[in-house]
Amino acid sequence: MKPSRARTFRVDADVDDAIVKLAREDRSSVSQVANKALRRYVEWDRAPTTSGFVSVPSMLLVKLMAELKEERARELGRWAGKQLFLPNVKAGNPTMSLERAEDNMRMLGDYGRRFTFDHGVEGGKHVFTIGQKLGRNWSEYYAGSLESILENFLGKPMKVTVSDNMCVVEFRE
Amino acid sequence: MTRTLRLDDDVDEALEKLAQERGESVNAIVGRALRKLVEWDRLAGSAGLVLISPVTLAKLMESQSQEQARALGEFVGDDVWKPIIISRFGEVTLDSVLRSIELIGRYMGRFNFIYSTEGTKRLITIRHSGGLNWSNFYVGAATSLFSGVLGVEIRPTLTEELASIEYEMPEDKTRGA
Repeated sequence: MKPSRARTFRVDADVDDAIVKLAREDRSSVSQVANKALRRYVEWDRAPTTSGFVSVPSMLLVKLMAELKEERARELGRWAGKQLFLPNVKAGNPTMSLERAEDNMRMLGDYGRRFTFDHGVEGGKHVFTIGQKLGRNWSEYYAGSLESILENFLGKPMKVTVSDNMCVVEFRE
Repeated sequence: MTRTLRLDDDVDEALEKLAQERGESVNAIVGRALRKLVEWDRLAGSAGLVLISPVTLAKLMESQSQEQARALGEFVGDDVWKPIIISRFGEVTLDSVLRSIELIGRYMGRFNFIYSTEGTKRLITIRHSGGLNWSNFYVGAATSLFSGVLGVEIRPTLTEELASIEYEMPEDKTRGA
């Protein structure tokens, strides 16, 4: 159990009523519901890779990306990995590491709701997987992003596999 | 009213640090975060809203023609916003559409919303920095909701950074608008 402390806040009555209702629906305590929301607020707000992100309907992203050719989607992903993701990870902490980049990818997945991220290691083989449901071109986009991010740290050959709802990047230690 | 919460130590410390950086009270940040939770986060999750870098989004929209951008707006108005408005407010009325545009502006981070009235005239102005395609998108979404769902005729005006929608208040739809 994580160390915790009790804090008292002044909260608008309508907000308090709504949180009590949410907690009842979730079969959880008001503190648990509030704690989760506040964690998300501070983590997302403070993460340099996610600052200023905007909210859009996932269906809009499906339609926007569907207009592109697969090569262009991959190229856009490479651009985003190199020009947006890596500089922002560095802005948060000048000491860049693959672990730090992974933490940021995981946070983007968890809070951004566009994809799931996983990194497994077995017998010296690393497997990075991004799962998503927005169509083939988004898999190409994430493949391009992962390639450009990993190239920055590895400088070794990688195997990239893309399907309609997943991209997988593998390499040996 | 006051509410006592048991917070994880690291969350509490992050709130303190954020408050110091922003020069505001922890209470103000907590109040805003909790309001966002009840007004928006749950709805956004269940409605399939996702988060993306505005730069990437701008690049994707650049590949559309103005006609395509407007059609995308109409699609989103009908297939995304209409169900969200019904889920949040129970029905699509002029009042609930306006309240939804205000919520979307506040929490989606893409535009500022200004609403003004003069006699029976109503003017909605959406100010953004996305260029003509986004203005077309917003006009498309408004056309879908106002004309398509509510049967209210609108007169749109658009520039690179504004989408304005003007309409006459129907006599039988005066509630709250």
